[in-house]
Amino acid sequence: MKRALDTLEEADDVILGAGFSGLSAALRLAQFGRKVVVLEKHTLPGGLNSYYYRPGKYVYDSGLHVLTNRCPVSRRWGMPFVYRQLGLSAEQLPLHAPTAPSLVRLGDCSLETPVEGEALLEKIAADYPAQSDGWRALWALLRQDQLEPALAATPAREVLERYLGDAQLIDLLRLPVFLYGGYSAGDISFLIFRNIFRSLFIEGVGHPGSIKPWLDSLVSALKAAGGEVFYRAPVVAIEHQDGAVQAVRLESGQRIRAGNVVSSIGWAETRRLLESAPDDAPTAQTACISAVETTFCLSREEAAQACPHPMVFFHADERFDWDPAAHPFQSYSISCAAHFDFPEEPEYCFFKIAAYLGGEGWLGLDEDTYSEKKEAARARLEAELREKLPGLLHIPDDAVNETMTPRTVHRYTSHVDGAIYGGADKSFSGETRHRNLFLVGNDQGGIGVVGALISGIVVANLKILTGGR
Amino acid sequence: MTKDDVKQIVLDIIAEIAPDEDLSDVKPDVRLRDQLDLDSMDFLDIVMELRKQHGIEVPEDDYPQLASLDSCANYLQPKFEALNA
Ligand SMILES: Cc1cc2nc3c(=O)[nH]c(=O)nc-3n(C[C@H](O)[C@H](O)[C@H](O)COP(=O)(O)OP(=O)(O)OC[C@H]3O[C@@H](n4cnc5c(N)ncnc54)[C@H](O)[C@@H]3O)c2cc1C
Repeated sequence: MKRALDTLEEADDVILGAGFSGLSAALRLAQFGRKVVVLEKHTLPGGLNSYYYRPGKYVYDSGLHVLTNRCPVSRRWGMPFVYRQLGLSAEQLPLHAPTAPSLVRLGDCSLETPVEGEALLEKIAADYPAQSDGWRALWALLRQDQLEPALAATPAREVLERYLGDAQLIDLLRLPVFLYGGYSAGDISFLIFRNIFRSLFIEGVGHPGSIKPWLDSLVSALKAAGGEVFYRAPVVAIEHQDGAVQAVRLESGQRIRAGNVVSSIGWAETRRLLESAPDDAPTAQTACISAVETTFCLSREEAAQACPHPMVFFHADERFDWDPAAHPFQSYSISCAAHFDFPEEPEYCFFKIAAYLGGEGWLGLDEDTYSEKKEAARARLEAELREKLPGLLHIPDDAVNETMTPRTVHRYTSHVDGAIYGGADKSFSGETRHRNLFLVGNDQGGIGVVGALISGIVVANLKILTGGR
Repeated sequence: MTKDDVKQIVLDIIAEIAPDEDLSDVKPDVRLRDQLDLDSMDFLDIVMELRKQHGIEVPEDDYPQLASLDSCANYLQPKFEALNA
């Protein structure tokens, strides 16, 4: 069958990938009357946070533990920014509040994080009286819209140590942030630390019920604005000359000329598509951060019994060191959708357990070896959590469940080694060595679903709509 | 449509975009950016709202014309007139 894609020769902006950052950049650009085309390899939108169907009319969310940025703090940040810039409403991109606190657990030490940000500020100030002044000053900094560039680029731990003198408190604060977006082993920039901390705890987590309505809203708004999305349309090369990209090539050999190319597929992944560009040769990649995750599909009651918190951020050691490739099965992210204030009673709730590890060694295996490796990882994930968090979690024995691995992530998103937060190299400006090729999403620093949405908007605004003015 | 009408339209849009700003004393001949907390993204929003609410297109090269209320009025008035003609 002939598709509209087959006759497409050019577009103002060609977007690679229909994940959240690609869709948001596309929507923003299309709303300004530009001819925008999104090319997506997979058959569905969403990328790292997509969905899939299973018998019994279950729609599984891939990814999606919780979304973030629920409470507005500023019009320039989080959901108020997304709603206004994309012309969408809270009905189209809903977020429902948690009904219980989340839990950060480092070895045997626990911190319950209340639903409201200000309550967390006061709780830590009361629990750590000697740290109270430093903590309040740090909170004010984390809440600010603007960050000085030098501070933004400083390693996060260094900044935390300037404000806090308690190693355990520092680790308790780092743990959830790294689980949620620790894109490289060791440390991350204070900018990303601030973005994630603010999203998770100051503005707070929320749940959309399912990610599908969010994606449906974005795709239908994009179409209404005149943009187009084509699935099963992998880009295999980006043609360029004299520091500018000119066209993209599809697997079919078709060539589409592009005024700008906006890539959400990752920086290393994008470099691979640039033909004969020695300057853009892939840099040595440090080990990518990936995960193994099991999702249980339960009734709300069963899910509430499995886990009493909407989120549990758990690190098995007393000290928090972030190097999942070297130390797999030490850090765990657990989420339970039973503890959110949904307007309608959900038919089923997901309880998710994930362990972080390196993505290396999961690709290129024969099916039998892969199945064994996956089964071993699934069993270890459950066994470790049963042993280490007895009394807190009740992992069901015989519930409907699904396990994903770094290979699953790679298969559906094409990220190197199944990386979930992109590579260690980021381009925070979104610029590349090619003047009309821009990065959005994880590798521009837009981590998480809301981070990805913001990234698409900001790069579209600053690099294309205002032409760097 | 008078120039004052156009200025009011622009002020109404700014009030939606930046609800916390005090717009009671905006000087028409001073750059909006110099008296209000507006950044380049906010100016894009003004362009977008002109398009959505009023069907007015402001091409990228003309964005500098939106610097002050006076320059907005001078630039946009003929566009509104053309639309209503
Ligand atoms: C297991 C897991 C759990 C997560 N949990 C959460 C969570 O609870 N909350 C949260 O906010 N975030 C979560 N995230 C992170 C979040 O999903 C990502 O940060 C975000 O979705 C990244 O979006 P993106 O647009 O940057 O990239 P992606 O979603 O990766 O989009 C890139 C798209 O490009 C496509 N593509 C790749 N190569 C090509 C090509 N050559 N041609 C055409 N298309 C191509 C891919 O198929 C993909 O659709 C999770 C991620 C994972 C994997």
